[in-house]
Amino acid sequence: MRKTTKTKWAAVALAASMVLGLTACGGGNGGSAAEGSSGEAAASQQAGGDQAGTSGGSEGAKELVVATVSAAGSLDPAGIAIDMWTEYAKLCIDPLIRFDESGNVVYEAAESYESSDDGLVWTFHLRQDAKWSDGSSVVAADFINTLHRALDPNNGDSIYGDMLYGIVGAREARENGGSMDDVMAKALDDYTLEFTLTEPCGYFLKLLTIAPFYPSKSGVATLENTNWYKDAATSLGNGPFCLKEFVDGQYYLVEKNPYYFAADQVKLDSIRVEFIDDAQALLSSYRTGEVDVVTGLPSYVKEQYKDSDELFIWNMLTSKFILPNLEVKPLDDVRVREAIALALNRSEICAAIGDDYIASTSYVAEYMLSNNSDQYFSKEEDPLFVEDVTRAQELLAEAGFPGGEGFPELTYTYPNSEKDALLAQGIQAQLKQNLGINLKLNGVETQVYSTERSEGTYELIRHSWTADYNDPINFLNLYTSYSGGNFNHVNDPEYDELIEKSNSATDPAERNTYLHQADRVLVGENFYVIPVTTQVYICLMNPSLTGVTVNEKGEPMYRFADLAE
Amino acid sequence: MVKYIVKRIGIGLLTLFVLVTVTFFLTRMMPGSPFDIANLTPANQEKMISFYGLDRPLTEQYVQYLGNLFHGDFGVSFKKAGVTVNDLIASLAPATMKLGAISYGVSLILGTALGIWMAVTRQDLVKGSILTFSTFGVSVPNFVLALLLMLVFGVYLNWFPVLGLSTPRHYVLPVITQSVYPIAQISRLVKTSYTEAMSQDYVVMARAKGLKGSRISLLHILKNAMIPVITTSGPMIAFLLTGSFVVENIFTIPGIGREFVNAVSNRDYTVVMGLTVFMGILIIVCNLAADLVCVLVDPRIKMAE
Repeated sequence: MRKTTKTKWAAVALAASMVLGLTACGGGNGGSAAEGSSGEAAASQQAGGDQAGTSGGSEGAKELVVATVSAAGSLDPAGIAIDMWTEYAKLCIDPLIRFDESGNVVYEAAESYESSDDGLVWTFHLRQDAKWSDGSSVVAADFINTLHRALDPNNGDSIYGDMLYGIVGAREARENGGSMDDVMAKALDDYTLEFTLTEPCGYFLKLLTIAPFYPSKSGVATLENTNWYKDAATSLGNGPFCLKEFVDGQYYLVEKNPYYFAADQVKLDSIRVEFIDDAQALLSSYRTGEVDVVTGLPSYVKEQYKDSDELFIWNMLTSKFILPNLEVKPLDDVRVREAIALALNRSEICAAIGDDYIASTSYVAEYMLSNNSDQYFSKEEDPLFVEDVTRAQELLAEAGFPGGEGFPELTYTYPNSEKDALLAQGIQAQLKQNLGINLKLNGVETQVYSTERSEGTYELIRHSWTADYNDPINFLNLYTSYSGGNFNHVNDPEYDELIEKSNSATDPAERNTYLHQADRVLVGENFYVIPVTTQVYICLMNPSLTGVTVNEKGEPMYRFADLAE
Repeated sequence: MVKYIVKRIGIGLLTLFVLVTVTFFLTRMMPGSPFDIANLTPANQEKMISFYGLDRPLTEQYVQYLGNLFHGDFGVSFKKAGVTVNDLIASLAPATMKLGAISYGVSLILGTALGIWMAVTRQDLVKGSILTFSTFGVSVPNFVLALLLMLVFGVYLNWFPVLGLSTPRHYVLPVITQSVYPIAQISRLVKTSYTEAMSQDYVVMARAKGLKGSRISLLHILKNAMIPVITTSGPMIAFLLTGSFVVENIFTIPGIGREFVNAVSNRDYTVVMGLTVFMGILIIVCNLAADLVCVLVDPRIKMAE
């Protein structure tokens, strides 16, 4: 026993001394390595290049590598269909219709549609040559499959369930034990889909772009099998690509769907989507060539790459605004709210935050397309208000606080990220300088922030909204008196009425007018919300990547992209 | 011996129980919920909360969690639909543990070698440079080191890839990042204990007997000089095997450290709990193992009574 331990130790020590020898050699070379480094580096780079060439796939297979930030949620359109799903759906799933960059309808799974004169019944005719990646036909039942699962009361992950309540019977099915048979989303035959709505919905086509309206293979994608979306055999695609491999938290790989009706237009063989959390890691992996597309980069990248064709700006449908608590004095006074809105120099604030923040006085996202023209909704009419410090000072004096005198110190709550902190400091400085108002900053963790916002325990709070679908109503209907997302309890009958009118208007021009009027009531007249900025995503793309298109939300689409050799 | 091990395991289980209880209530005391998803309406959020049983009394949830834990069931993730925490750990652990094991191996070998070299060399230059390196190693924070290595050897020189762990080349930069601190620590320990052991009577005696130098250093000195290294190895291995958030995040390694921090900020309670328990078990086992190895190497060390 003693003997063997001794021998073992001798062996370990011997190994250690061998390494000692190795390091000695390494140390000896240290000096010369610096001198010869340029040659060595060149050789290694060559090796690196070779390696990159082979990792790109064998025999000329074209693989695009895209980085995405979030691995949260799932790929189930009836489940937690957030960022990860959005990226996946753009590659693998064809919805009924989609919209292009200018807001025109692109028919995907549907070939045509019609709606009844009262705007209540919508009928979609499906493309008969559409196939799932296992070769089976895409039928109306596949669309119903997602809808029914999203409305199933036993589906705890259905985040968009309540956005379907415009369909007759949907609310009853989800909340009051109603039967799925009474949900008026029906497959009339394999290729005809009909929706009956409770009331007219001028934006129904736009609504079709939210997750629960995407198909999932009936009988395969079920609530019982919670893992269906991770398995290539059950996670079928009806789009240009289909899932090949899903490695949780790491990446997923999609390959060309051979049964896609327009497969001849698909140039890439596969796309690998990598999950990268760290901003520096994103940029580095792009620079090493390991990733072809990176999104959501730090703002300094925009300056660094400003003359490069690698830079891609993704105009997000986001609005960042201040929500005043209407029950707190003196914020219940519209003159005070207007003074705050007018006193901010938004360009100055954004300049301090970075190139990805863009000043905006519009509550509806700056880059939201209008339904009635080829302009942005925010640019169609005169601005809702114009920054004006003198006017702001007058308003504050009228409200009883000349020069900010006697104005209580208010608290501004925001999620504690770097950008939001800079935004908060900008707002604080401007209000102090222009109005003599002191703002107390309260930076809290994201989750605390959400809790305070929904419970109404704030005075001023930063709010941010990114559109679910490209229609101004997605912003405006948040502040109806009955909306669940109305966090500062706006209760304005005039506003409610305008929103209802816009919903039942069948003429796009008429509807658009109501939306603008509502926008003016919400912001320009009452300042229930105080818009500050919008945001863009800064992206870099491999210059040999061609054919990238943009959808109505400003997002890059790689469906028909190509990688030059 | 057996009695000692049984006692240590008992203490370990008690520690785990306390760990589970404290973590359970602390995570629930954090404001916020796992279902704070952008654009989710409060009504729908409540529906999700009740679906996952988070609206029931905390004590009831606690008792149920303990019951499940007793059967080895860590529950399901709230953020990753349909993923059980058991599966999640099984998929995350290999990357972290492989990286940790390699880093420990590298650290042990290089640290020991450098320590001995420092102890035996008579050249001040060598001694000085190793000392400088080890001071650097213990004082530079690993996120600085990780970024530095990534930018220099990944981005500018393009020698090594920086994303994930798919090939052996991918291991180089993360392993260096993780090893520098342990190497510095081990080399300092070895240097001190090795120098001390060199002047011990039995070494002088061995020399006097005319034994070969290498035999003396391997058999007589090193064996005794390694005891402090083994003692610190327990926590060190545990530290390396449970993964570093910084290293895993910067090099995009799908491991325990990265997921743990994500889970905490996402309020994914079950994942936080599961990973805490898993890491707790690892740490307890590693410490116990290190103590046992010490006794095997040096029988003079008595088991604590």
